[in-house]
Amino acid sequence: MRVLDVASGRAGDKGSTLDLTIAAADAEAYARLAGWLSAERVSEALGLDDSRRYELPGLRALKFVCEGALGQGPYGSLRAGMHWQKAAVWAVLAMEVNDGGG
Amino acid sequence: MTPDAVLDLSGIELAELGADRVGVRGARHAGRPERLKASGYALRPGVVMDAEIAFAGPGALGRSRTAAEVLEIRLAELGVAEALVDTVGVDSVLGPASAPAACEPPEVRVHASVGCDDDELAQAIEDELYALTLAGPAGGCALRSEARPRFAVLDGRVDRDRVSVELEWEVAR
Repeated sequence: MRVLDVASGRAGDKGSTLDLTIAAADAEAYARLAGWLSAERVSEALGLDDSRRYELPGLRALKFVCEGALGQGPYGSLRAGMHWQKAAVWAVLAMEVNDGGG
Repeated sequence: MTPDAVLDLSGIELAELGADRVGVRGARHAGRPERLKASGYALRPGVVMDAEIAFAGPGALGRSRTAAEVLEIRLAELGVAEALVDTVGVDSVLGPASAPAACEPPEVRVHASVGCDDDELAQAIEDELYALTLAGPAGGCALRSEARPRFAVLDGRVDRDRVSVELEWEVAR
């Protein structure tokens, strides 16, 4: 199972900070993602040093805040074209949930 | 964080109240911030030279990798401090977070963005890309380039008492 099989996601930015939200489809999916989708795993999937995770159980959502991930912000990026950060959440949605649950 | 309150949304709950009615509750006021969130834009001197060269057909990916290697060496020789070379269609958006290419793409573009302090360096970068059509891997083509402003977004906090509030209305004509 991949994250996108049980959740949807959106990316946001503020200056150099990347902000990712993953919203689970139901309570069961939230429990599973909350147990497996750690800040460390998200950092690794994005190739970042560090990120912080916040839990929003009432919304069945997990929020990941990655400070410094966007360098000089969406306009200063050297990537091809601007605002690449909007795609960043797909790197998380594509993660295979290897928690033994299939 | 707003000027009036740090809003804690961690306890938010939604409830279906009826047709087209959703209840939202649980937001919490977590105090008034003494420092306010601020964002500013800085325009640095020079430009970002953003240029690409395409490769298509059999072996496009391999040829693009050779072109990217050559470009990296040439940029190092020019002594650029702020540069990124990637491949559009492979890893130009997600960078190191990109999944490996699952198949041979019909076409790819080698992309370079370089922070340039002056127009002379920007021209030299563009020339390096053009040079690859003659002296690079076979079939380098379909070039595009753009010199864009070197914007940076800077964010931080400012003390509340240093901010004066003023509102101006203007009627659009």
